[in-house]
Amino acid sequence: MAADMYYAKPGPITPIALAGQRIAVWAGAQWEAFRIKYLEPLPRGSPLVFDLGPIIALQDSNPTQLANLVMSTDPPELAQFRFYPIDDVEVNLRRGQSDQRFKTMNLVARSDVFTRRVDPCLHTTEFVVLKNDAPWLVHHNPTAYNITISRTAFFGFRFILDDLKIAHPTVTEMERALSPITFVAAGGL
Amino acid sequence: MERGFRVASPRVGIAVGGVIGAAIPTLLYALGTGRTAHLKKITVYNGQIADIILQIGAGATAATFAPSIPARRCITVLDNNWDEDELPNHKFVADIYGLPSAAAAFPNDVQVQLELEIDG
Repeated sequence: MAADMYYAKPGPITPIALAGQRIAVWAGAQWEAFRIKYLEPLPRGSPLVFDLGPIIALQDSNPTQLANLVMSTDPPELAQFRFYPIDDVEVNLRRGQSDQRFKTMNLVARSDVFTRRVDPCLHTTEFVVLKNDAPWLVHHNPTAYNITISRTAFFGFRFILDDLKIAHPTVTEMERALSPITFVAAGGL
Repeated sequence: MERGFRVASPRVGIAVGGVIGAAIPTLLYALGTGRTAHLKKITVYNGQIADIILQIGAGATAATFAPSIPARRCITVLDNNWDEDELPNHKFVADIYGLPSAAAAFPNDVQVQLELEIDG
């Protein structure tokens, strides 16, 4: 059981936890605890495809807020997504305009059309959106040609949460308080 | 790039409604908003008395039409077919039109049908 209690699991996407189970969400400087009240899938389809429009050769799109992926604040909601670019672009994902996800010390990883070759289930692209934390996208055109369309598709799950009003700065403290619990990163570190 | 699913366009006569006159682009397939497609097959029957050159591209009027792939010579009184091995893997991002070098004398003199792979 403990081995299952993390997110971004390899294989087809599964919910981070089930109704009644607890999750701890990293949303900046601490882990915040919630209990899942309800969940439902968000299937891939045109409402979850976002086109950032034309991009000239070797340039980036403007950072674009995906307002339609924002979740409810009251009651608190969380969404779990995986994503992939449909067109030949590289995708830089951010929480807010400046909190870039998928970083090493010196660079930010981007998902591109080759990601699905090494990761067909896209688990390395998994991220969550907590309440009104809008995800932002930047598309990079890696080609020497201008492109007229640059789309990224998302799919995943939606969760309605109970806020347990408990927060701890470390995993150890949170596990001591509320184990078993699934740890999920909503923001970068 | 995403691998999509295949659809066939309607069979389209390029002199739609029997209008005889200057060649104008004819809608071959309406992509719809947010979708793109790759051409996998072109099937043309040219029932006219002369060969025609068929261009396939985007743009609803002769003034705005821009070909997306090299023109195809469609030989008279022959079915002219091109499979994906003979077609560039061009991504169509807008409705697909055909522009013949001459208007057909009768509505179904030149018949065109496309097979497309839709993605997105």
